[in-house]
Amino acid sequence: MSVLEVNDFWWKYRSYVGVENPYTLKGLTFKVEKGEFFGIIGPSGAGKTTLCYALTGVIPHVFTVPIGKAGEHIKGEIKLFGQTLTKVESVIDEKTGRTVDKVVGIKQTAPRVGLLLQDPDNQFLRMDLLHEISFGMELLGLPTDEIERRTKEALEVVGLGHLWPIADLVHPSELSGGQKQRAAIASFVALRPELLVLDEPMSNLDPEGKLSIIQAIDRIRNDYDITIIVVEHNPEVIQKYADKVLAINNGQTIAYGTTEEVYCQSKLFQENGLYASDIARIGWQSGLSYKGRVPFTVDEMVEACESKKETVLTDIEDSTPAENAEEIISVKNLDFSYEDGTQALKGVNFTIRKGEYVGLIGQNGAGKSTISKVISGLYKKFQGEAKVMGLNLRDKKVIQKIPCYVGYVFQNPDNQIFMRKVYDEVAYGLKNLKIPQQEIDPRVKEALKSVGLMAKIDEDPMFLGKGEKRRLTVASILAMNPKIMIVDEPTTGQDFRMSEDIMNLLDELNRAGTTILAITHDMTLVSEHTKRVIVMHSGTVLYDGSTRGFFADEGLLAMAGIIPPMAVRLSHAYRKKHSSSPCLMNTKEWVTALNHNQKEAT
Amino acid sequence: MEKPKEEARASKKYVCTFIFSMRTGTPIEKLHVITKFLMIAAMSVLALYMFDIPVSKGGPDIIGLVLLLVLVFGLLIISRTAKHLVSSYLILALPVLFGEFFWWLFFNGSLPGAKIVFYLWPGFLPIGISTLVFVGVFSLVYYKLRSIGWSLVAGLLLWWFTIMPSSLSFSSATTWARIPIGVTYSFSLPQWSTTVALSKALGYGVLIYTSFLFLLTTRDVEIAGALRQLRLSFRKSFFVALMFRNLNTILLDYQDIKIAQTARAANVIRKSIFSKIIDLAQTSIPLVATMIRRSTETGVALYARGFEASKRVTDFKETKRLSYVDFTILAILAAFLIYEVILGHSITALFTR
Repeated sequence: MSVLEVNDFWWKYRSYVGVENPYTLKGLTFKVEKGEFFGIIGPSGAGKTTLCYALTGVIPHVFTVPIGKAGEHIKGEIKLFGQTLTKVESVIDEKTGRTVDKVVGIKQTAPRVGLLLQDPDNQFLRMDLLHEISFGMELLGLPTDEIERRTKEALEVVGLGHLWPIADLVHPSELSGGQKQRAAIASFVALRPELLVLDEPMSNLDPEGKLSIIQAIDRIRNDYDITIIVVEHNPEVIQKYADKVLAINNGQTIAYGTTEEVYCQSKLFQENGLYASDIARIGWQSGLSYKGRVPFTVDEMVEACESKKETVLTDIEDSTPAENAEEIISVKNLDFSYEDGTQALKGVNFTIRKGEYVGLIGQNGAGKSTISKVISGLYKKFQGEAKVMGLNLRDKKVIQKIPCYVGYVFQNPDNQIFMRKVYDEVAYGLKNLKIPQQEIDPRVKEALKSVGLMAKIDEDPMFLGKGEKRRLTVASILAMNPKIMIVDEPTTGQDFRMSEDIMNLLDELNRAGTTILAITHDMTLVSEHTKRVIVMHSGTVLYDGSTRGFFADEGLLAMAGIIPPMAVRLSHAYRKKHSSSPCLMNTKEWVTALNHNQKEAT
Repeated sequence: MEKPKEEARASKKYVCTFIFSMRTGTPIEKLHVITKFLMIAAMSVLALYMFDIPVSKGGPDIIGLVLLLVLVFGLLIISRTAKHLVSSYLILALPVLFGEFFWWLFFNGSLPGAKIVFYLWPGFLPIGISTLVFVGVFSLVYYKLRSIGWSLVAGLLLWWFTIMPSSLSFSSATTWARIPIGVTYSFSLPQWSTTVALSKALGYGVLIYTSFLFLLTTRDVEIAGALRQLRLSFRKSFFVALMFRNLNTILLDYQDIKIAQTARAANVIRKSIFSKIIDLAQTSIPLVATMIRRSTETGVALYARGFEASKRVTDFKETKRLSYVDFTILAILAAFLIYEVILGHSITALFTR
């Protein structure tokens, strides 16, 4: 039985500024069957979130259409549980006698349908965990003992059972990124929905957090027989769990079918800037296949490699940063505690030399952002020693000048845009530094050119897309010519192409001499771009050394709670059979090694 | 099972409130929000009444106001929220209170009596100890700074303070000669001005800090529960609570935005107050953008939970009964109000009688 049937559905947001908006969804047609795990993929701005809104009735009941003009905004039909959810019908208006377009269908989809938004912070409605989860049940008018039982059970299902005794005292903002997502999921699990729609539920999580969330979702699906629709960039998740996949771009279907059918189309992924897994990319680029198609899993790829007798992987030597390069960041015995007493850093020590590109990794709450904010002079009350370019950060006069040397690109671009024009936004930091106007102009333009935003120079940043805002924040820091650049989750929420653009830009900056410290959960990014990693764990440095050394050590990975990228997992699996093989870290290394073998064999 | 639960609750020392957080288990946390609200309302009424007692009826009740202020700070300390206040709002509120004090001091001419507060110029140049003070301070500052300008400023300031007591009692021991120059310039105030100005500053202090006390020690669930106890509909109660809850969210957003602004070199160069005000105004752009986005998503989240369709809503651990402590506090406040407002007694009068 179909839970959802979407037939040639079109949607256009109403405009409040006089210029009509284009259609965001264009003629989508697909079905979701009961109990299915349905994946939706697509590049940024493809219309994925809008589709989630349409599937849950948010469109057209929260994002409404002008009265009488529904037909101009909606075409086609969505059926939910066999009933019309959204459809436009022509009816005769009793007052005027004229024929007008009217939206018909189910007005309220809750509690049978749940919708989990990308940012859990924005959907929390209460100030404590207990009432956050019980809120929907209170609205349903369930008896208090039933609410209590279901709340406790929902917390246990999502792995937050330990918070039950203090659920009424815990504010959602006190939870870690992963816990917030779990709490948001729990609030719907408690409602016992038949269909749960999740819009990028794992975008801000560390790899282990992602795994635990997806496992929790899968468990809920099986235990409660819930149909799941997930919007997700991560190909590994979709490939492993999804039964069917819908790929969209620019509001249109570009692929629809079983996961295997969709993920075999290499051209589709390359042309539309979609994330493909490391394994698929290695398969496409090296021509290796498994049972006539591109391998999807590590085991399949190992088998594909094994089938080629000539596969011998050659060792790889990493370039090491010059030992005599100038120390640009130095941290010794650094402790930091927040006002509520939480100790975020305990005896942290490391040194970063000029021109290095370092990945700062670790689980949510490991202390990555805290140490970065200490280095950039934003957190001042620390114990121990911290120096940037030889300047002691305990000196109040020095700390004020740190933004001249350290540029910090924060995770959320919306919190760091202060002006109403792209040009002014980039010039903002320069004006704060009292740079003469004749110097500001070329620096702003150069920075905008390097991030590809020159065409938007006179636009209002608030109306830029998410990826563009992200690049604007990079340009704003870039224009200040910092010696050190700290980037917090540079690729979160961006499609493959945008992520590549930002990472290539950072590579260029690094080659030009800028020291880069990238805080990220994206291990593929770490394996492809950094030569050194500092691994934080519970406020301490667990590992500081070469990226390859870290990824090669499975014990260390387990201790840090880090799940390596698929390319590294492939190396681990391959090395179990061929112990002398090197630890290849990324797609590029694997493809080079495999193609090198093929050439030699030829 | 109960023991681990108690241990877990004991380990959670702070709980988030509308602004910042409050220590759990304190007497303030246990109070019903209606008691807190009435307590704050009563203290505000008392403060307004105490600073408004006319001079003809004995004047403002300064001791009463000081007691109220001590009570407010005592409650802030008990709830362990004073630290947040001192680090943020106290600094913002103090200039307002000082402004209030000086405004009433200088622009309150209708009060009876007149008293010289200080002399700008006594009408003669005194030669004596003050002259030695000038020479000594000038020499010392010049020795340290090698600046004639700063030495003159420091010397003259100390000299002026030495010769300008409001009583102007130049004894022969300290003033050896007087050279008449110009006429006397003095500054006088009505006799009651200082008392009235002080009472206004103290009174408004009570109003400001009691409001903070409420915001620093209250959570949304208390408001929603209390309003429902007062027979307000669930929707209205929820939206009032949501409005207060947003104070907390805005505060968290503002902290992030301010950090981002600092990272963009907003504090690198020393700025004028005007530039700092512009910086503050610029934080409104991301703040408003975030609020708009959040409000849209809140609408979506409410729809997704079935808010529109709800008909019969369950009260789940939101309402609580008034305890005997609540009633005791309300009784004390009522007695205080009757004593001061209805019977017209003053605590200051009690002490000065």
